[in-house]
Amino acid sequence: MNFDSLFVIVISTIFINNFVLSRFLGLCPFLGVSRNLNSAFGMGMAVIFVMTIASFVTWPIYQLILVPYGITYLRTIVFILVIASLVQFVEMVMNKTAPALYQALGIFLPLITTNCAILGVAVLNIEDELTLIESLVQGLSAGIGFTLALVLMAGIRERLELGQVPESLRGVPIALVCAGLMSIAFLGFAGFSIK
Amino acid sequence: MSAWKIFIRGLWEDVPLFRLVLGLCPALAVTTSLRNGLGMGLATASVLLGSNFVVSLVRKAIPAKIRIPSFIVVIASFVTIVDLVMHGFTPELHKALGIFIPLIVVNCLILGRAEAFASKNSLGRSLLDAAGMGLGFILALCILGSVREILGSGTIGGFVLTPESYRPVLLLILPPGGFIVYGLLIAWFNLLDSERGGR
Amino acid sequence: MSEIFKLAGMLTLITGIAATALSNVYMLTRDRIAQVESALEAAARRTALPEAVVFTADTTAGGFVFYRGWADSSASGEPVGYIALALGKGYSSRIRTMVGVDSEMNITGIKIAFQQETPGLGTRIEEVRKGDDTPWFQEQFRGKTLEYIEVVRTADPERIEAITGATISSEAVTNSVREAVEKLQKVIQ
Repeated sequence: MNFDSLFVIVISTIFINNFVLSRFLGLCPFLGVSRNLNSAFGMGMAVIFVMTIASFVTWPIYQLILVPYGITYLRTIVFILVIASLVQFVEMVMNKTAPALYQALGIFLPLITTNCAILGVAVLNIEDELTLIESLVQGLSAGIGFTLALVLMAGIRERLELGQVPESLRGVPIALVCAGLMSIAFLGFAGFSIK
Repeated sequence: MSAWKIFIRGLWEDVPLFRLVLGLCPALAVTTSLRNGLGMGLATASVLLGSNFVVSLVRKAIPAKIRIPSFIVVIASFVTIVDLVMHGFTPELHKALGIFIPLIVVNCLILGRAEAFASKNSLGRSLLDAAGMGLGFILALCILGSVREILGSGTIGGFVLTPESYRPVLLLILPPGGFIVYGLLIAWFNLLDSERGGR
Repeated sequence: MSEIFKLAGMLTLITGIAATALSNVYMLTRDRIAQVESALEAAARRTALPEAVVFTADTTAGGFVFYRGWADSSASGEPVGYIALALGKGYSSRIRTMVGVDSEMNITGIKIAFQQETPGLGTRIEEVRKGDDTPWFQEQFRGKTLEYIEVVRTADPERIEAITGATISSEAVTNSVREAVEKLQKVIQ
């Protein structure tokens, strides 16, 4: 197993090519759930879990079923159905084990299905031609990167609520501008050359 | 609600991206140029039309409990069709839009319209809704794409607008630019709306 | 209990109908897509080795795929050059480059076949300057031999000049091209 390549994947997915701030994946929940630090963290955990399992399940389905039977065009349908089922499953589990968090996340939990970051990472694992272990690592790192961006944003927005923001900018617009500034900060990682 | 009202709603009052904050991911990722924005808009609008059509057609036959997964299957099918057609007939655009073509399936706009409108309305009205929302989405993407392309590359639709000596604001076609331009456009939209005495 | 079976059955039926519709569309577009893809590849091969009119494919024992290029349409005599596909991990995509060399291992040309790098930065590896016909970054490779295929920050006409702000993309292309030339060298010698 090539630990070097795994390390590169971890660093580049979390920082250099952060899923939210560089790749524009996972924006709807990023703006929707980042008002409050606790729910942001909870959502992040749920996303990490779903992304990792999704990577682990979609890869073999693609490589061992879709490719050999020549039906790779069914990728989108199959992947999204797998993800939708996973989210249902996570919902049921969370309802039993952490009902408070389940209530707090509310509508956003089923919306994880439409989180483009999850389908995105599943597709990227295939497009980048990664192995199963590399896909698993990329899924996990993407989730961590997403959570990082989400938690940072929540921290900022909690403070913004107390600030004096002009009427037309209030809410989503100012959050987007903040995201832009965060994205500039993360651009600083772009020069990272890992040898 | 009259037919005209259904159509026009998607163009101003409930325009995607500026009013309905849905379908963000593709909006920011591909609007580095007008051409890409337009292409993505057309692809998404096609899926929206197809999905509203089918969902409305079979709305009485689908059991309520499995309606969301069913909508997803319908949407995913149209996305795959659009993907295949674009690969064969518009390969340049297909390459430029990349993974955001399959990601149209999780564009909350499409699932949102299927759930909120097409599953409860007749075929004709659902098609009008899709047309209005689709057109609104295309316009929003074109505006976003144009602003970013003109200021960020000094071109529009590939035609060079600015003299050689002008160094464009590269930041605008990079991710941060996407966020900032989009945020400011929404704010401007809000401003316009409040001045007209809107909500 | 039976309700679950009924719902699952319904969903399977819907998915089945969708899959059937899709396989039909796939059949309709499959040939067209294959045509488009092979046209792109043929164009890339022509740019990488302009002197060749016909190519024959070959594979080494290690699974490395390469092409021999012939100036003569009957593919006789000595090949005028060789082509291989270089793969490199770029900033946000796997960059595929077609590399052509002549029998002396000088690069006859490269053509980037696939990239999805950052627009405005990494995508400049395919940028064509006003007045030029071909991308300047790729033109640099023409005529160079193995030792000179490396990235330098400052302008050195003997080596490869990186793109400002797109070091990772520049290095990905350069390193993958060098690797491909090394592999071709082993095959030919």
